[in-house]
Amino acid sequence: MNKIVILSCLLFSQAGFAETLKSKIHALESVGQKVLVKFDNGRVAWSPKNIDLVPGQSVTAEIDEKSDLVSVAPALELLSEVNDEKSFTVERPVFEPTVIGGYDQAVAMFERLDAKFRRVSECSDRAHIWSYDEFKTNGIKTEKVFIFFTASYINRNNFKWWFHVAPLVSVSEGDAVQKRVLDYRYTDGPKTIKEWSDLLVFSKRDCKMTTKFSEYDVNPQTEDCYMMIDSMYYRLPDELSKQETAGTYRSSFDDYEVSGARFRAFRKGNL
Amino acid sequence: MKFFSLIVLSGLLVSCGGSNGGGSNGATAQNQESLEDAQGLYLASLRPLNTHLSGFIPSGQTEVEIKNNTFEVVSVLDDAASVTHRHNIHKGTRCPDMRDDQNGDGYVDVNEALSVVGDIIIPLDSDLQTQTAGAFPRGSAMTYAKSTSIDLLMRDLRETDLDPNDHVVKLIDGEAFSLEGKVVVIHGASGYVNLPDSVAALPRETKQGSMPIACGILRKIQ
Repeated sequence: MNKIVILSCLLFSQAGFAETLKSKIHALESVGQKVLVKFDNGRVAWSPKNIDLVPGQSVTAEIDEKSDLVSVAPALELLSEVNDEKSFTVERPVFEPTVIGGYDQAVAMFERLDAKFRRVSECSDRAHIWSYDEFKTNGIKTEKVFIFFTASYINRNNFKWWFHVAPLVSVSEGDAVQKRVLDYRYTDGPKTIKEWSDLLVFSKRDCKMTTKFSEYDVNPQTEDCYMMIDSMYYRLPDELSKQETAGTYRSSFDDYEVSGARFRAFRKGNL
Repeated sequence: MKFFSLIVLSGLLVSCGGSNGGGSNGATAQNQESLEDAQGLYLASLRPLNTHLSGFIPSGQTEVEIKNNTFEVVSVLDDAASVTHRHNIHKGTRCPDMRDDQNGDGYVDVNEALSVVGDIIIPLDSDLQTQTAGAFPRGSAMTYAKSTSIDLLMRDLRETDLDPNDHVVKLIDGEAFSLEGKVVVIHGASGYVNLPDSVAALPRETKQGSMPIACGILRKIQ
């Protein structure tokens, strides 16, 4: 905690635009003369190397149009919303996603997703509510597909996020079961995983599928992106990481967490 | 030139005590009927176009509410580009995608987009009551909120189109006013984006400023 460095001064030359966010720092990664700061909410920023930031600390940060960190200051610690005892197990639970009866049903499901999300909202919150509502209302169990962008990809493309997540539904199409991504914010219908990743990965390279988060977190960054698919209960990458670091697996929704995600991501009234 | 011509024409029409195209009782009744049908709240989810432009993939929403004699529009855009964002309601029925990149340069530019989304029927600028040039909203995290009276909007849409080549059109005689299925397009990429010569630009606008970045279809939700 005492390593937290408070900077209200300018880190980079001031720009006309600055986005303000409040989040925990997920990880730091050296890239050339700068440090890539990955926030829990998915956003990234570039910091000089002489700034003493610590993973896990909660901060309020200002980021300019080029994703340079303009300022950073400590924030009240963001507490976990999840009741670990109820929502995690120490053995990987069996999770069987529902297989719905055809592409038309996937389209209908897509159109049922709550479209009244806030302008500034996190993909993890939106995806969690979409999955939760579909499960509670129609009993359909979806998975989540996480895509993780490497530092090399982020640096080359001035990309603004290090991960993105959306619900994934299993669809019976002909003799096969196809996986379709339901990402209402960025696509106009159910998409294959490849169609969805091509929207985000400009090189159109395939993302390496993995079951271990550490493969993304510590790899030499020769890939553009990694992917993980797991149950609908996972909201954040940190929970996937805990499979290896803590030996725990998410096994259910947490009502308090769902309420928080809905409050942050969706609006009740008009724009 | 168009701006002044329209002012003169509007003045003439007002002084004559009538509006073009809606002058007959039959047409007026038809307009009234279509406006009653059009009452409600419409939402367009604005999804990204040309996602590879800057690394910040923009998205947003446009809500249009027609209630009694009020036409109200609110648009928000989640975007990092601090630039002017032209945005308009078009007469087409679908958004472009990369299949509409006719010259294969990797971008759906403004001309390629227009060939899909059609002409502009309502510019969402600082003056909703006329199609004449108003100021478009600016900024990253753009928020736009304007309203006007339906009467003024319809009077303008029933005027004669003085410039058939400017991609801004009026309602044709007998055409009912409807928002359902119409397309909202937002333009304006960051000035930092490098674009090839093959990318088209609007007159007196940069390629970046002309670039379509988000699009959505208006659907009645209430």
